[in-house]
Amino acid sequence: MRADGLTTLTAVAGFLDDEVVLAVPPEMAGEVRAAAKLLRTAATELAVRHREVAVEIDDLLALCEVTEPDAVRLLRSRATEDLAAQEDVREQVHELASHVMARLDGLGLDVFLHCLGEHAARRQSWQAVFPVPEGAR
Amino acid sequence: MTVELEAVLNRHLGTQVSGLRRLAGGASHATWAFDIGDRQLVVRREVDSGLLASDMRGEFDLIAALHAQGLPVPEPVLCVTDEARAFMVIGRVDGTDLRKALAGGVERTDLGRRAVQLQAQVHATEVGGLRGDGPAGEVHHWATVIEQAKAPVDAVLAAALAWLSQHLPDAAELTLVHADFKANNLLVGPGGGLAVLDWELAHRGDPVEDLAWTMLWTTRDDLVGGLLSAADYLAHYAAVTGRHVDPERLRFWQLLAVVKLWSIFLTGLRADTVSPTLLLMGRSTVWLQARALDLLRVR
Repeated sequence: MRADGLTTLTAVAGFLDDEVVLAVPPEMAGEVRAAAKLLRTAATELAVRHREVAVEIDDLLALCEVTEPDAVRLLRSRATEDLAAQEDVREQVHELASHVMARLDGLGLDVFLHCLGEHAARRQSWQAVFPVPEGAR
Repeated sequence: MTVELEAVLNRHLGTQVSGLRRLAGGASHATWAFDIGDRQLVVRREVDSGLLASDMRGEFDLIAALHAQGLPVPEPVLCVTDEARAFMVIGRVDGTDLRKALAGGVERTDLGRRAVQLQAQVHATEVGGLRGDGPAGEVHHWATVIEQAKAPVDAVLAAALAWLSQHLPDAAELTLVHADFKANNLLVGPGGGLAVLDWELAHRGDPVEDLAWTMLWTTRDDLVGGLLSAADYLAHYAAVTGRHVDPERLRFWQLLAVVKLWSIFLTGLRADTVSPTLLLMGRSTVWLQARALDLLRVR
């Protein structure tokens, strides 16, 4: 068995499901199963996260550039390969996009909504509470 | 905790309880089963890391009022609000959840229609003293919960809140709404009758708000998408109540339902105690994003 990060997450999830859930009080079993699902979805996410979040950032900055060139330039300068820092940038980009979208309606707003819809569709397999649409697996 | 809770129950009930055991928890409470002789009871108690502001007294009084009117709800026994954590004691409803009932051969469409009839019965029940602010009040309420969660800005959530504020439906007749009417709050009794649990979110509101929340849950074991299609659900509700649901009103309340659930999940991420279940819910906001975008992009 490999011991890289993603394999480790999946292996620990299996350990929780196969061993730990049988050994804890019944009222804790649900939390253990939830922990296993968390590890599995985290592995799914981490396998593609850096690439996907970079695309999301680029997509939204491209849409914001016409009305907010300075803010976009600043956020582009913060591009990073560090996952935690990248998430900070993504949050700032969402804040900027919200600001721009608040001034739009009709087709202008639709372009943003379509873009955000594409992003949301690609993230569906990162969660385990709701059914994942076919094609998003 | 079991010992402490047992002592509290013994003191307030004036007798020795037995068989105290933890059942599944909810968003703002923990639930335990216990017995007093042959009497089977449940205690629901507030938790420190509750997702929702709890009004135990309000919920208990509502259950008492509904029980007195013959609705299939747990029997009210006792409510205590002057302990460190408020709790209520109610009768344990004899029944199984929908998933087990369906596995046992209960017919889906029939069960679905009876659930709709029960929901309609709730909407037709008169109860005083409940909060009810209408659409603007509901949007404000959940927007405030989101603000208090102090989560990072999400462009989709911000767009949803803006749309809701700009598209408030006209005032409707306000009725009692359960506000969490879904499969895991329904029990099927031995004779096939349905009972409704968990009234913590109930208030006076637009009945379409209630329908929209029910329609958010669409697995094979849910009322809509499982027992009935969305079209059959609305058609049967209209047949039972005479209320034909306006599509734009439904769209508003469906988006509000998404925002409401999103706010509950965000609140869970603020909890001081790490709970894998709450984390799992917090990570599922991507599904709510997709659902919100579907509703925002309807033409």
